[in-house]
Amino acid sequence: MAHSTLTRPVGAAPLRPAKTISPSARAWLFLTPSMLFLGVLIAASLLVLRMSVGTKGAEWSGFSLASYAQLLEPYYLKSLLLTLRLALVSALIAVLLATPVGYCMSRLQSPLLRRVFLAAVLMPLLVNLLLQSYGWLVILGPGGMLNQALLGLGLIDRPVMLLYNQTGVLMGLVQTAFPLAVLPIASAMRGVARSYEEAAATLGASRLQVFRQVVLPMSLPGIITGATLVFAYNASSFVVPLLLGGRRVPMLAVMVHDQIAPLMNWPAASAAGVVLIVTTLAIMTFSEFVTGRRRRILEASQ
Amino acid sequence: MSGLVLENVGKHYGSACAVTDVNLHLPEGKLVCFLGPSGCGKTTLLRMIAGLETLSDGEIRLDGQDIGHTPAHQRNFGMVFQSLALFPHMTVGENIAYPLRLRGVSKVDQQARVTELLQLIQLQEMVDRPVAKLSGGQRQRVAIARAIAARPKLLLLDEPLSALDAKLRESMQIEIRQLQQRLNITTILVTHDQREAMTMADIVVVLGEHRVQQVGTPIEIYRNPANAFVADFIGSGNIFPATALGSGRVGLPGGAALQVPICESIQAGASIKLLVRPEDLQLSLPQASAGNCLPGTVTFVRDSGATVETTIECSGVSLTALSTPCQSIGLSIGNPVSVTIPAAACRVLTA
Repeated sequence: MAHSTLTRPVGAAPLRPAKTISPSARAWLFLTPSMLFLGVLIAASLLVLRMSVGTKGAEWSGFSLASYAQLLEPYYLKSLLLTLRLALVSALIAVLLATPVGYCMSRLQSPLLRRVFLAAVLMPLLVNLLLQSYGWLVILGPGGMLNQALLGLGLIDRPVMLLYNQTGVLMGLVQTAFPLAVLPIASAMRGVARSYEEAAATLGASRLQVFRQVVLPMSLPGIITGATLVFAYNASSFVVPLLLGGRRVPMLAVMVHDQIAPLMNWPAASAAGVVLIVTTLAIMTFSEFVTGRRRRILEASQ
Repeated sequence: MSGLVLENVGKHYGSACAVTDVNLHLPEGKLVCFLGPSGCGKTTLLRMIAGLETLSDGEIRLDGQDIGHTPAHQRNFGMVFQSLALFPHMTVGENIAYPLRLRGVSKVDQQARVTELLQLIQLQEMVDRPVAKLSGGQRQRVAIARAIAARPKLLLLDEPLSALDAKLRESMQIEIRQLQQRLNITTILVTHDQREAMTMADIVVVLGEHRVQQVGTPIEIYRNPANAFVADFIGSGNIFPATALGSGRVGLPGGAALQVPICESIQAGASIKLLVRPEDLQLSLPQASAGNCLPGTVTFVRDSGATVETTIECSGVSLTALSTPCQSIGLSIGNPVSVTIPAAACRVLTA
């Protein structure tokens, strides 16, 4: 080939033979550590699935759907519905509160201020869940700070029950999962360039209209992601309902724990766990299905 | 006074000045072009007119009414952004109807106006497409249609063509100009591309170093630049130092003298700058120097097919002459040549 002299001087060292490893194999190699890690998790989940169709005392050999049938009893069914309802309501409230915070964060100009804001929002993830729950106890308990203050001001004559009921648990759920809502929303809103807001303004939109008709719909994928994260996180919440709800707010994770720790009923606990995972996955799939088209349109444009 | 009036308008961020001391009158129905290098404050000026930037100084009046502090959404100006900023979550039709929806126009009237505008931009069949599915030129037209949908008093274009490739840009320039003339809408176009300004504008406002350098028709600005900045920025030109000798004669650094139009305000002995456009220089085979015909040596020839650019070293200055291939006399580097600089083609600029 006449042109080879242009690119390779005569007598140069021969090119190293191409690595025999193919690019796709290299990619898999790169993924191995995380795949191993995930593999253990998946194996554990499959073990749970196996145990859920076993019987008490013969988790590995027996086969029975009794544990699932048991979940249809009103007591368990109520717990499942309560769990889903609290997770859903907490997700809605968290997103509602997180949207203005996320918008504010996405529009902060000063990097320092943005970092301070981010640290403040991330606090709940940095502080132990147990400590946060005890914090709520100190504030909301019957002899807690809030009740003391209200009593002192003469606004109430008996302590208000804010704990050991669904209100208390809901407050705890919203607060502990708040960062999970803020982060995707702020990041989605940062993706909505300033020029879209300015364009809407020049077309005649007031600030509120700009927010409602341009910023919100354009960051909807992030808002849905936030809601889904909070929902999934809270559906399996354990510490918060245990400490702030006592035994009066039996969310499913608490029940799972009770089945195992005092009762040693592995099949029942496993079945409850499987149902929790499946319902959560189903709801997340549904939300992806509903918002997927819009997400793809928005992503194609950015 | 009707039209848009800017009086002593200025904007500074802390001690940094973006633009200062702008006094302009934009007559109705004209296309005015803000032309200048990047960072000259032209976009800031446009954004102040749009209401996206607050005024630091001065006043903006529209038909006698002070609008300098009216919020953007109450000004009823249409604006096309450099990024176009078409809403990706809306279809083409919804984008165009958006300003109408904000004004509470009925659904039927919205639809009628959208159809009318889509016909105007020849995209009737695209009404239900998402904007992501459009080509660059189509998006451009949709952005303009959206900006004029609510019949704004002023159309503001912020470098709207910079994202298009050269060929499409040229055809869009003509298209926008024709549309503007047909609708007779007062338009401000911001650009750094002087060819674009020359193609489209009725009036060009040259901005540089944070202030207005010159206001005039494109040809005035090209032929009669007010100062060295404008002369240098608009078109290519030979600008070189010279000394005034009195009675319309100037001396070149190399000693030769030229006859130029008499400029009353300049004293003999003052150092000045001369501007000669490359297309005004005439090259000929060497001959005795007489009047404005000087001897020189060819130092570079750039033959691009359609035009021939010849660079000549002549009496201490380097001149570039532009000629068509049929005027060309077949010069190559090192050839002696005679350059004729017509007196009428020389512009004296105060240095």
